Amino acid sequence: MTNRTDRLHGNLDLLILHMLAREPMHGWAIAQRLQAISRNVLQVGQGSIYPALRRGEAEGWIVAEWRVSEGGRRARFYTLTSSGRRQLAREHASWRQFAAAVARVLDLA
Amino acid sequence: MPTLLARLTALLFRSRSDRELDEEMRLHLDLLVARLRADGLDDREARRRARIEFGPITSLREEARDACGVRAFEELVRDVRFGFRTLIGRPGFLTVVLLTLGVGVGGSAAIFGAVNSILLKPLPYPDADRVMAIWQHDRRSGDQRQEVAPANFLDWRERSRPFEPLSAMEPYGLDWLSPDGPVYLHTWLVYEGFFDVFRTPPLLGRTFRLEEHQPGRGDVVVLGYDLWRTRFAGAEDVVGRVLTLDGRPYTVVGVMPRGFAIPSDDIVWAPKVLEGWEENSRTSAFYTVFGRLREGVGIGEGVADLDRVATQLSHEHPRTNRFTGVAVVPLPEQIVGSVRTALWLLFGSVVLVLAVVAASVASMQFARAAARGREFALRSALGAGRGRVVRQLVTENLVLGALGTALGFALARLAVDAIRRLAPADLPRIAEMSADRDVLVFAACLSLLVVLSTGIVPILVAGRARLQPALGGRTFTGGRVLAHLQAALVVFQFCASLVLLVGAGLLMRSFVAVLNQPAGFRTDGVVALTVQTWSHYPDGAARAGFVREVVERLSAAPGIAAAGMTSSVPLMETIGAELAPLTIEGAPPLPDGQSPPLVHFTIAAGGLFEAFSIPLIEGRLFETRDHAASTPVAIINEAFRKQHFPNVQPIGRRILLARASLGAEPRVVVGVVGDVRRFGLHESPRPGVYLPHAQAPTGANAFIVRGEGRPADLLRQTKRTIWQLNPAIAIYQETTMADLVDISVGERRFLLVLLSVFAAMAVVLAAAGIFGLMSFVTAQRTREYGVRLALGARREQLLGVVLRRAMALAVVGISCGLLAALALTRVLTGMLYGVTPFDPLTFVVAGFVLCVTAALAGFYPATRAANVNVSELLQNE
Repeated sequence: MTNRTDRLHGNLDLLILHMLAREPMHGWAIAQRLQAISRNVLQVGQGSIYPALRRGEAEGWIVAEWRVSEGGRRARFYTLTSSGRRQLAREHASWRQFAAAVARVLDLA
Repeated sequence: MPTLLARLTALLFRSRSDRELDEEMRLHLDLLVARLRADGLDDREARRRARIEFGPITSLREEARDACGVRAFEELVRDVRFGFRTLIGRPGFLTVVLLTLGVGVGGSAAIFGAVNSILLKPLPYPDADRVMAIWQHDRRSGDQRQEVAPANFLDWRERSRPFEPLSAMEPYGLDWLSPDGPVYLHTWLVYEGFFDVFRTPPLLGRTFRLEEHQPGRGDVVVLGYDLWRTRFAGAEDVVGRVLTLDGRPYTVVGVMPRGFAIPSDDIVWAPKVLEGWEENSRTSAFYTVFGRLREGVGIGEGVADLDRVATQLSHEHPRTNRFTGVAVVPLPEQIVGSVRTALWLLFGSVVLVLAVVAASVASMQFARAAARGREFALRSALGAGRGRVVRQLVTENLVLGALGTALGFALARLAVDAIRRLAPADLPRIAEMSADRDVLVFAACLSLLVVLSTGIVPILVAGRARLQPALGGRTFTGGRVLAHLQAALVVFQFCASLVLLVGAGLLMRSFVAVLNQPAGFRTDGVVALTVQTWSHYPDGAARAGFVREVVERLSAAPGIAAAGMTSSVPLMETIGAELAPLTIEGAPPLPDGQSPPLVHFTIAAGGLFEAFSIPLIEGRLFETRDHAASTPVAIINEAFRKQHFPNVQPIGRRILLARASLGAEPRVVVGVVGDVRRFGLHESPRPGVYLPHAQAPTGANAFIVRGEGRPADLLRQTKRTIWQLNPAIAIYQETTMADLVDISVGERRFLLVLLSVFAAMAVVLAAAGIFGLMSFVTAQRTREYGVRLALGARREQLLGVVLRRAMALAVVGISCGLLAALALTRVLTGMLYGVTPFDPLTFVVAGFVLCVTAALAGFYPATRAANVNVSELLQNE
């Protein structure tokens, strides 16, 4: 359990950025989508997306604004910026490199 | 990674992002709970599960906050850059505001620098307020501070407990045979304990030891800082050097640090050895006395004790001390007391100027805010939080304030230099004045205060910007309010300008009045050169011969109209004794116990009266027949005649000046001459007596020469003549009479120049204020004017409307200013001459000047109004 959480933590940024690449979302939606698509494997404490989101704002990858959500309540929607798209591409490439290297080691070693 | 600064800024902007985060997390939790309940769990279980699924809230919140730290700091940097760009984007606004702000802040900071270094900073003596200057005073004459007689000082020292040490200094002079020729060194002889009174340690070497005040052991000197730097090049090895002073070898034992200045830094101190005759001398008063209060003794106690001693002395020596009292002045007051009023006056004036500057800056900020109303509304609509816009505006103002500080401080440095050069040389502590850190801090505070306080309104306006009216309407809704505010500011500016103009005007009239006073002596083409011949010619006859020879040679020289010698140069410090007790033969005897009044005397030789063009009113001047063996004679001046011989023929009467050096015999009055204002152009002439040098051969000789050549040439010729006769004589002082007059009005002129500069600045700003306001209003009302014109109004009428409004504002401001000036000018009373603080002419002229200014300033906007292009306007509708 701990291993998986750690691994996820390091890549949370990548996943969040990827989610937001499609459309702006608020925190709850991001968490639910993450759980749903990953088929509950990636079960990180839902609250931990918030530090990641704040970090993303600080780095300028995402911007946030308050809007009215579908449920009628005020929610903070996050949108990917152009610099965020570039960061997404970088992290995606880095992840693919890592995954490929691990696969090679497992195959050849 | 968040730096310390980032964390601090995050701290500042913490609350809003915290609240937002909490709201987000709460929403998330609520949705989680709702979903779990939908799955079938009950409320409490759902909440429990939700908490677990969410994760540890507190640490998550902390983590999120940490991530924010970076953002806040970056936002700040972005704000600063944006603020900078916005300001640069409007170069006109920026330049004018910066110039105005810089000049106002710079001037205020410079005057603050003067006030700070002269009045506020502590004196360079430890516990200076426990050091007292102690003076004699004559209860009859009301003269509060007189030098002290030796015997009185000695008795005070012996009998007074609270002062320890009590010491004195005596003015003297030594001729130094320097490598560059004979140089006169101003010397002050000091008693034991002198330097201990002040407790300032020497910069080099030591001060005097006790045994050096014994006869024969006193051939040591301590140098003053300025003298050390100019005459000895600040050499570190000067201690131990031997100087030939008055023909004898003296050893330099120490150098005092900069700023010690008791009484000056340009002198030497030598140990005083008491002379026999001084022990009983109570009429010759020439000591300056200082004392330090003992630990735990208050000044009241010290004064009371000295009064007690003075009373004892007045009983023991009734003939001399009957009316002698004591005046005790704390050292700070002694040094800076005379300029305190003037400095605070300057400070008050510059504060007024700063207020006018602030009003101008406010005006410009308001006008700009009006123009930006649309920008704020738009940014709000596009999602910039209100707080963000406000923060950005604050930052912009801070940038403006920082630029204002930089410019203001740079100008302050220039101004401080100018003030130091312009100020009268005897302004105390002026050498210490500099644009230092205190001045920088002051400039920063002023600049930020002005900018932030004038920027507050736009910031508040930005905070309230509403979208619809601003975007839809043509004019900003707050426009009318802003116009009223600006009008109020302009009125204030005119009010302040009038006060400053009146002040400057009064000082100007006083200055002119003083200069117009007949001095009684001629100043153009007249030079004065002073020497002391006591040590070179110990014999009186030899001194007389020397002076006669010099004067004869000078009188015979080509290009010299007249030459003479005097022992007392008008407007110059005394170089020799000048007062003697006067008895008039035949006058009614004085009441018992009263001592004779003191009269001012001058010893004259050669063509002194011709050189000064002092008119002979009656009788004759001194001639060669008035020599040591003939009848003692004297010449009196008009003031003396009016006071002592009001209805009587003075020629032939006999007067006695009871002073040892002047002979014991009464003198016959042989002539009456015109008055000379010896002590200052603004003082009425005092009664005085002239004596011929041959009959009273003083060694205090000032040669007065009048000629056609340049002053420098005349002085050189005089020096050559003196050195031809005796090359070892050092020159005490050389100057022109014109310079002396200049110096005597130096302080007056200094105040006048500064106050005039302030008044001019204020008037210019007020004119700009009215110009700006009228332009603004005209621009706002273009439509109205166009309509009026279309309806048949004449252009001159529109001109009149605008001009009338401008004049109305000016008149209101001027009226308030007149009232304020009436209340404030009494502060100037001590500095005025020949005018009262309520002089009507000055007030009227000041008001008139401002009216004309307002008319001129309003003229251009008025013509703009009159020339509104109607057809163009109609097309734009």
